[in-house]
This record gives sequence, C-alpha cells and structure tokens, in this order.
Amino acid sequence: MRRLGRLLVNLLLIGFSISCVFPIFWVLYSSFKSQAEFTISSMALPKVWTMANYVSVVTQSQMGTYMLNSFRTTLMSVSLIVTISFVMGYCFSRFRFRGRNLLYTVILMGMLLPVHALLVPLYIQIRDAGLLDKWYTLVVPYVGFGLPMGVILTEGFVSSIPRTFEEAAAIDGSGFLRTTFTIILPLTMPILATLIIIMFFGNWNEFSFSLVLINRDELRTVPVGLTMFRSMYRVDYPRLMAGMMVALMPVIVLYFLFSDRIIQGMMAGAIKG
Amino acid sequence: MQKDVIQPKSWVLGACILPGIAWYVYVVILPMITAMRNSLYNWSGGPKMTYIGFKNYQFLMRDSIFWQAFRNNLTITLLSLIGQIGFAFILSSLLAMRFVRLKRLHRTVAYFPSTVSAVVVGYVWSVIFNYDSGLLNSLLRAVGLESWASPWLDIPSSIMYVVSIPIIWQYIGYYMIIILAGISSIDQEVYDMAEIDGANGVQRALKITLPLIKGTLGVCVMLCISGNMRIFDHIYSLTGGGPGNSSIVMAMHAYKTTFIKSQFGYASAMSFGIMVLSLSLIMFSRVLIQQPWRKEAAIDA
Amino acid sequence: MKKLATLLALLLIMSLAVPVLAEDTVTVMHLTNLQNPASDAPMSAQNMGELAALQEFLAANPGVTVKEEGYSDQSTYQQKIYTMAAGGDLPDVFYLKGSWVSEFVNNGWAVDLTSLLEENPEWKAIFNPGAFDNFTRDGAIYGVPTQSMVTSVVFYNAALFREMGYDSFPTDWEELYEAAAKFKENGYLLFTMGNKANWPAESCWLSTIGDRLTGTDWTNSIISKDGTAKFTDPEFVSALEYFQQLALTPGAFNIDINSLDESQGREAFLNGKAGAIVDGSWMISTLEQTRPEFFDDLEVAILPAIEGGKGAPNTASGGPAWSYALSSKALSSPEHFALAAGVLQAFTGETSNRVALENGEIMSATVEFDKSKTGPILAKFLEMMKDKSTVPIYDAAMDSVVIETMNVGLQELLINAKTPQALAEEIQFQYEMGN
Repeated sequence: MRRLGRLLVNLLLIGFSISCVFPIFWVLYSSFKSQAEFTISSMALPKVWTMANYVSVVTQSQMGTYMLNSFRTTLMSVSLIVTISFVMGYCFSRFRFRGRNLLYTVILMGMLLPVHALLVPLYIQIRDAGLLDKWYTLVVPYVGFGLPMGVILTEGFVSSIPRTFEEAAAIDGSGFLRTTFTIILPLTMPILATLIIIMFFGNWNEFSFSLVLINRDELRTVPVGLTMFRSMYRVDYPRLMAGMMVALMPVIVLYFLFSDRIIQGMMAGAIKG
Repeated sequence: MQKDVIQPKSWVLGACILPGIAWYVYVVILPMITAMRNSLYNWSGGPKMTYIGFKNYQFLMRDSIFWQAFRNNLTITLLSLIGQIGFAFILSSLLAMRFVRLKRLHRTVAYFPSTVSAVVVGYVWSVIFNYDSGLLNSLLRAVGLESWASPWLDIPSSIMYVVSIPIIWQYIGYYMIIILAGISSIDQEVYDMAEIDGANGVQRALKITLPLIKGTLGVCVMLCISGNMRIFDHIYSLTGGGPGNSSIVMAMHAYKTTFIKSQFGYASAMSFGIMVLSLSLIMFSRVLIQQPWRKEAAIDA
Repeated sequence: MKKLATLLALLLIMSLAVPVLAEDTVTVMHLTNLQNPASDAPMSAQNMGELAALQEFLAANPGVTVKEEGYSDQSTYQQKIYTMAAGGDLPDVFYLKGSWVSEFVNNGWAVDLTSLLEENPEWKAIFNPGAFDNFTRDGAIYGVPTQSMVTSVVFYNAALFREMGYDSFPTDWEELYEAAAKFKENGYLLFTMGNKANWPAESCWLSTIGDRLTGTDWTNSIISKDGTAKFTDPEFVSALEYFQQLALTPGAFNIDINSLDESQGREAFLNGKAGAIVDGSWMISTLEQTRPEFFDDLEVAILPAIEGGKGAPNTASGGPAWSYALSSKALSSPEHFALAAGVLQAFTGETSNRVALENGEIMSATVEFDKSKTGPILAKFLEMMKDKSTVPIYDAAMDSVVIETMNVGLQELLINAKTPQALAEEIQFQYEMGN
C-alpha cells in the first residue's frame, strides 16, 4: 500500500514534468511542419519534416540582431537589478531608519500598477531626457520595474538569517561593507540565484516597453521581433514557431547549463548551524 | 532605538539605498505622479485636456465591466494562491523526500513553463483547449469520455476556471524556486533531529518547513496577488477577454480603454483603481498571515 | 540637455560643411510585413507596390532619407502609434485606419489633405468614387486610401454544395436555415468562423447583414452623426436578430465560434468539413499561395438577400479601411512638407497601385496594369463583383468606441448570452456618449 502510494506520487511528478516540457516540444516539432499541414492537424507529429521555416527565419528575418539586443539588454539589467536589490534588500531588512516603512510600501506600489498605465508617461519622460531609442534605453525601465521584486525577495530572505553572523563579524572588527559582501552575500546566494533566473526570463520576454521605447529595427528585441512573423490577416504559425525556437534555444541551453549549478548552489548555500 | 553594533553610519546607509531609490523614483514614481494627474482630466491623448476633478473615479465606481473584471481577477487570484503556491510547496516538499526519483530533472523542468512568455503559453493552451483537434478533447475521446469534450473556451459560466489552469500551471515552478531558496535557509540539523525523532516526510513538511518559511510564503502571497491582479497577456492570447466580456480582467479593460478607445485619462484612473484594490488585498492577506518584519519589529520593541 | 544636443548638432554640421537644406529625413511608420528589403521575404502585394514607389521617389530626390518603421501586426502597431501620438511624436507619414480618423482629427494629429489633393488633380483622379469617404470628416480629407477590400465574401466549396443538392450558393436568406439542417444531417457544417479577435463577426457579417436591412442611408447617417439614425432602430435590431437566429441554427456554425482565431476558423473550411466561410477578399491571396489543389471546387458569392430589408440585395461590405496620412510634424517647414507629401503621393500613386494590382491586391485606385499574373480565384472574385456594389464596412467607418462595444457584444449575441435589443441599446449608449 505504502509502495503503491509512493509509486503514484512518482508517477504524478513525472506527469507534471512531462506537462512542463510538452509545450516546448510541441512548438519544436510543429516548427518542422508546413503551414498547410499545420492547418489540417495542429497536434500530430509532422508527416513531412521540412526545414523551410528555419531557412526562412535565418535568411529573411533579423533574428540574430534581435537576440543580440535581447542578450545585451537582459544581461545589463539583470546584473544591475541583482546588485542594487541585494544592497537595498539587506539594508531594509537589517536596519531601522526614518521613513523605512513608508519607503517599503512605496516600493510595493510599483508592483501593483499595471505597466500599461505608465507606458505613455514614461515614454514622454524618457524622450525628454533624450534616452529614447538607444542601445541602453531598455535597461532604464527594466531595472526600475525589477527593483521592487528584488528588494522584497532579498528583504524577506535576509530576515530569516540570524543576526549573529554580522554581530560576530562586527566584534571581530569587520567593517560594514566587508561584512555585507564577504559574509552576507554568500549566505543570500540562494535567493539571488532565484532572482537571476526570474529576472532573466522576465526581461527576455518583456514586450511593451521594448515596443514603445525602441524605434529602430536594429535595436529591437526578440519579443517585438517575433510580432514580425504575424501579418494582418494571417499568421504562418509554423514559421512563427521556428522563430520562437531560434530565439528560445540558446536561452534554454543556458538555463540547462546554469540551472543545475544554480540550484545545486541553492541547496549547498543552506545554512549550516 | 537601541545602539546596534552592526548599524552602519547613516551616510553609508544612504549611499547604499539612495541610488536604487533614485532609479526607482525616476522610472516608477514620476510617471505614476503624471498618471495620477492625468486621471483627473478628460484626455484622449491630444493637446486638449479638460480638468474634471474626480469624475473619472466616480465613473469607475459605476463601470460594470470594471467590476466584472475585478471579480474575474479575484477568481484567478484565489485559485492561484491555492494552485500556484500550494502546489509549489507540495512539490518542494516532495523534492526533499527520499523515495522521489529524478529529483534533479523535476527541479529543472518545473521552471520551464516560466521561461516562455505568457503570450506563447496562452497560445499553446488555446490549442490544447481547442474543441475539434485539441489535446484535452482528444484525450477525453480516446478514453471514451466523448460526452465530456466541450468547447472549453466558449462557455462563459466556466471560462474563468479554464483560463486559470494555464496561469497556475505556468507559475508553479516560479514559486517553487522561491520556496526552495527559502527552505535552503533552514538549518539541516533541524531536519536530521526530527528524523531521529521519527517524524515522517509529511510531518517534517508541515511541522518544520511550513512554520520556518512563513516569511518566504508571505512574500509569495504578495507576489501572487500583485501578479494576478495585473494579469493580462495570458487572457489576451487565450480568449481576448471573451466570449463577450466574460473573461475580461482589469488590466485588459484598462488596455482597451487606452489603446482602443483612447480614453487616456479614464484609463489612468482605472489603473489607480487596480492599485488600490490590489493594495487592500495585500493588506488583508497580511492580516491573515503574520509578516516576518512585523514579528521582528515586535521582538525589537 | 537640449542645448547640448543643439550645440553638438551645430558642431557636426559645421565640421561636415555640407549644404544642409538639400538633405532631409522623412519619417514613416506603417503596417508592413517588409522586414528586410534585401531578402526575398514574402511580401504583400501592397508592400511590393510601396517599395517600388519608394525607390522611384528616392531616385528622384537624392539627398533625402526616408526612415521607415514597420510593424506587421495590427494591435502592435496600434499600441505603438497611440503612444507616439499621445507623446506628440507621430512620424511625418503614417498609416491611419478609418475608425481612428475622428480621434486623430479631434486631437489635431492628422493634417487636412484636401488642398494637397486639389493641387494634384491627376493624383486624385485615379481613386475610385467614394474611396475617400472613410477618411473624410466635415468635408475635409485626412487620409489617402490604399487597398480596398470586400470584407464579406462568401467562399464556398462548390463540390460539397452540389453533394448537398445546391448548384450554387443560396440567394435567399431563408434558404440558409434549410441548408444548415441539410449539412448537419450529413455531418458537415454550413459555415465556419473564427471570431476570437471579435471583429470578424462584425466586419465580415454584420456590416453586410446590417445594410441589407437598414439600407446605406442609415449607415451614412450614423457615420455623419446627424442624429436621425439610431442603433436601436428596429431595422438594425432586426439585423442582429437575423444574425443571431442563423448563429443559433444547429449546423450553421462551429460550436467554438468565439475561441478560434481567424486562421483556426478557416481550418474546417479548408479541410472540407464546412461548406462555406465568410471572409475578406484578403483571403484570396492566402488561398492562392497555399491551397492550389482547392481551386476547382472553390467558388465565391455574396451573402443572400433578405426579404423586406431596406437595403439593396446585390451588395457586400467593402471599401478602403486604411489610408496614408500626414502628421502635423510634416508642417515644420514648406520644404519638409513638400517632401513628406512626396512620400505620401509615392505610396498612394500610380506606380504603387499598379505594382500592387499586378500582384493580386485590390486597390482603391484604378490604373492600367498587366493582368497576366492575376490568379484564378481573384479572377473569379473580380468576375463575381462586376455587377455588385459595396456598402460601408462598420469598423472602417464608425468610431472605435462604438465598434469595440459592438464587437464584444456580438460574441455574446452569437452564443445567445445577449439579446439583440440589449446589444442595440448598449451600442447606442456608447454612440451617444461619443458625440
């Protein structure tokens, strides 16, 4: 009975995991179909495997440029978000200062307003500052909107770390910055790793700011680039999916390479009494 | 306030916090103030702006579509709180148990759906829910449950439950990695001792993990509420808010008001409505679960 | 910041020491699936025409740069252009939809083109009668039309219809109900529709059904807002009733009408499971490119006549929905205006129309062109339309606030979640609010 229960749990987990990868597999094999075949049966494996969609994506779109832009923007934004959030989250969690609770609430508010509400005001503001349509433009909103989540996650995590670590260090004569970066930073690695993963994919897939703040085709990012595969009255889905796969593959490979290490680190970062 | 050995000088503290705050104020708060001002005007985007005081807000109170959207958001939020965070907690606990195989694979793969953009997830599920050729109905027909096959996305009465499924599914892995990070901060010795005392997996999860990651769960609840009250892309690509307005959500109503009806002033007021409602919901949830920094403050006092 | 930029710009100009006035940049934003001009990417016929015309323009105006920004997806373009408009940053030349015109005119975003057209009579003369209607407000023209579409074409599977005992598509509305029953009996659907985006039901169906019952004068009265026509008029309500009754007839439509997108909605028709689809003339090129095996059995028609209606029976909703317009940015100097107007004229001029027509697009202008490339379905369609005329497309002519309410409500109407009367009242309410 107990063994049956365990088997069942394992099977359920495997089922869930399959459901998690299935959509990507579906997009993958569908991208080898012709438009006509996809129209007739959208779920089945392709009867005729064709590379035409990939040839078209590689030769007829600027996918390479879009990906480069996405990588640059994402890497810059994520490193800034993680650094700033770590320092801020730590200070918020440990120290009392005037206006702290008010600040915390204001930061929380940034996560509650729908992005579309700020699109036009932010567009005008960024244009007036002369920051529109530059290679670094998107870092500005991405960091700004990423901070609340970063701060809240680190703040919550640091609160669960006992103060004894820092107090011992302080008694040993370690200064504030040294303590922060040599003692606290390693301890917060698990949540920072989580933050990196979440922010990476969040920024990689961001659409609205990228659409509104970038005008030049050579600066467009992947999500806006992918809309170019749709046209007004018709969408060639297999071709769109080929575009998605081209854009997604490097990210998935990166994720596979790093997630294992990140999650291992997450587990290893556990506090040993 | 008592003297704290680790509290840095105030200028150091300021130097740590201010750059981030400045950035945040520039990107979020300043546009928010502009939007707040816009919400007091009748403005269709052009040079003409007519000051109308709080009329937009009065209109919002009577906007039946907005309140229908709010109810839909509440449904999604409630289902997600249970589905996303609940499943994520169960999954994280299971991944700590010995008899579970393929742990590393499950851990890696569970986050997969979150790597894909919401628009893609919405599209994929709209194909899964397709009446004629969708995966769900094909499975039902294959096992002889022909009569259960339905046009899932076309029934207004159940549409909110149907659209919640992809949303829940996508973010289980997201909350799982947050919870796993929280669990990693628990001293392993606590588990070892419990095991010596003969506590089984379920007991360990409920009696040790759950209370010790309360803070993390509180953060998850907050993220879950804020995310689902603003949800947009999933619905946009799954149903477009239909049939009719039966699956419309607040952010989508605001979006349509801005970019289809070009009522910029009213849309701003609507956005602040969304913010106030979300904030109240979060405050309410905080009363329900004790917040870690409050507890800490209580100890300090 | 601005001063610094000006200073830098001045320094740059001085250092280059080139005559400044001869050089200018015209900015353009439009809907195009043209991403990479150097590639052989599939391009719509209209885009081919625009590209050819632009090259002519550039050759004739050395030193002028045309900075194009293109989007191929309508909702993406809409979000972008409305943000730029609200920021006061519209490009010189932009693509303007008929239902946006009131908004753009009221906000002063679009420039009155009437005198420009009057000054160039040979340009204005190529356009078909009524082509400017959707872009005219109070007698002033704000947009120059591009492609012209018929949004309500019945594409039907003639072989399947013969099998069901019909030599041609029914010409009387009442026959549709019987046909639906007959198709259902044999395991087929009469029509298939993908109305997830919620405009097809209105644009492809209601625009024509509405006209059958209300007559075109009613629609024009609604558009001009003269106050005589109302959406609650019995004729319009009755149009909604006819549409609903058909939608609720078993076998008439697919059960998942509101969750399929346009492409998915066509599946049942292309697979031979549904007898007909009412779609726009834009589907012709898709069919010709992707379904050559389908040509022989495919016929085209218009929706049947409705007895007792005030409108003519031999019409289908059609006309131009999109146009090119100039923004107030183009007015910065007379020289700049001349160049921006030049680009506008190129996009909508003889070359552009000729190339588009040759490649199978239906345009709002009539010019001489080589018909050798006209495909078989287009030929059938043009033949069929010879003795038909077009009536206004609702979403190309009415304001978007009204259209949004209508489109959302139609989804509910089609699944019997709303009554025709209730929907008519809702639309009328929005209509009055907008006046």
